[in-house]
Amino acid sequence: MKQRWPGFALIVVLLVLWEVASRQAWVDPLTVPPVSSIFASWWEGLVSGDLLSAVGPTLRRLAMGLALAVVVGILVGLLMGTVPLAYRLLEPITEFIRPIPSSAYIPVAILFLGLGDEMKVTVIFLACLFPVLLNTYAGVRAVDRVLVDTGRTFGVVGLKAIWQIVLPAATPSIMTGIRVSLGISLIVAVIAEMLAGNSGIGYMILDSQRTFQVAGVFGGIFTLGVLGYLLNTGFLRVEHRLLRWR
Amino acid sequence: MRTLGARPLSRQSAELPAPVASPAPAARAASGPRSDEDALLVVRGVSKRYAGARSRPVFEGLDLDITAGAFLSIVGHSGCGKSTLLRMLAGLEGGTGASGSIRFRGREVTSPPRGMIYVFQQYEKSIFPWRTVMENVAFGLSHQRGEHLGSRMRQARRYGEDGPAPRMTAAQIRERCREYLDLVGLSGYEDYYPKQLSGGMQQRVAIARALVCEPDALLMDEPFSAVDALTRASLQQLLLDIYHRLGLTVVFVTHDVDEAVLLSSRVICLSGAPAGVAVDVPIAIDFPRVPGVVRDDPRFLQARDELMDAINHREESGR
Repeated sequence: MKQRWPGFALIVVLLVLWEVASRQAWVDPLTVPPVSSIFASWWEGLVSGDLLSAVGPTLRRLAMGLALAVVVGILVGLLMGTVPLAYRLLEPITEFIRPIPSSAYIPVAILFLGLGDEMKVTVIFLACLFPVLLNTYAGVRAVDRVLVDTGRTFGVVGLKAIWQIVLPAATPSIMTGIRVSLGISLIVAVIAEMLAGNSGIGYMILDSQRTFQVAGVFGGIFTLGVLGYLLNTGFLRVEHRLLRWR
Repeated sequence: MRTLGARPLSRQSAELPAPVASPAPAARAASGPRSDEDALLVVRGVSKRYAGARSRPVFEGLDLDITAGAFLSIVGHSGCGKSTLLRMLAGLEGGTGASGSIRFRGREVTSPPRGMIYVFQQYEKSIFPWRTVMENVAFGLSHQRGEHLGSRMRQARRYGEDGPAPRMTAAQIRERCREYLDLVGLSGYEDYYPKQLSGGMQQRVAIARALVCEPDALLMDEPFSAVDALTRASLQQLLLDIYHRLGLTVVFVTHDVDEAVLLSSRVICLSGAPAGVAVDVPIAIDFPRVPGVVRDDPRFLQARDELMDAINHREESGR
């Protein structure tokens, strides 16, 4: 904490500057309301539960899409990393789908899956899949030959070797992939909510903007900042626990 | 009082199946090895070449018998194929480009056989960094004993009569691991992760992990070449002690002739590619050995000179 206070001090200074700029009408208070009124409306939303009822659906979709991406990504990554035929079969299609921005297929997803959670979870899943998959694959390929041979000399081969040697050895790389996906998942969740549906933080921000509740827009953005911070902190804890041997 | 010293040494001979008919009579006649079907490891007419058009054979028509209880060292120039030979003995080298027969306890070696553990030169890559010292040692034990294999039925089907001993409880496994950690001088480090240990200690973990399986044969590929001189001396002493106490069979690859003569009951020197056994030197110094005393023994000096001559001779003729 000691080394971090300058960063926090900067945030406070900027917020004060914002407050003053808005109160002194250096900027239009209608488009940039004072920080104090933003916080007041944010606090109101928090106390009334409106904010939580917006955060809830977003978190749920994010968790489902990400969890699905982690499971499928690790499984397919392991398969591609250990079975050459699977790699040759799946590599071209991965390389083709991967560069497409996931927001681009939201319209298609709406067409097939409607405006509900299925569409949003699917889009989040697709966006989160490739970082996990490719990092798992890379991690599996990087497992040292000596480690695998050590397993063999002790009679640990096949699925047991994958579970007990390859997977733990690839875990640092897999965690890197999950961390990237975590960031992406929040972005895609918000975009999907803005384009379709009537719940979640993304919808809340867009709805506030349409009804000229500028404080609500900033409140939603601030909420996303807090959410992202908390998600990352939680992730780092899990990572630290899993990789405490490093 | 400790079960360690009371290990039944007769296990090897008791489990030896009936001798298998000897293959490749031509190869045997050519180099005329003694007919030693009771050897623990029998190598007959083994040739190996790496894939690739311009590859020379690494060795050709190699014959070797390793009797139970021997400490055999393989020396030779780097690149002479001694590590390749060891990997083949361990069943780690793929079958490509290889011919001939390697039998361990009378059975053809096609994959790493039970009862044989290979200790790698790169200990830092061979021990599992995500497992504690205790978990690393237990890894070998639980798998060699078939702990996680499910039903006893399946074990029996897989391994037959000389299969794993009855399942051990977690407490028994820990107890056994502690004994061997104590043996290699790592008591008190059970819960450390490998990165917290020095190189020499990591190699001790690898040795304990191999020994805890109570293998019939321990195959070591330059196990002490990556540690400093002082650590190396203490690990050599450790290996001498363990070899004497447990009555192991050790096959040891090194480029250090002094080390080979100091540790071994027999040293062979591989000639250059395609390699065969250039010289085969028995070291008739009694065990237990004290390094300081052995190094002054005339038999030590004579064996060392003989091996050095063999190595230098091939160097001259190779130029």
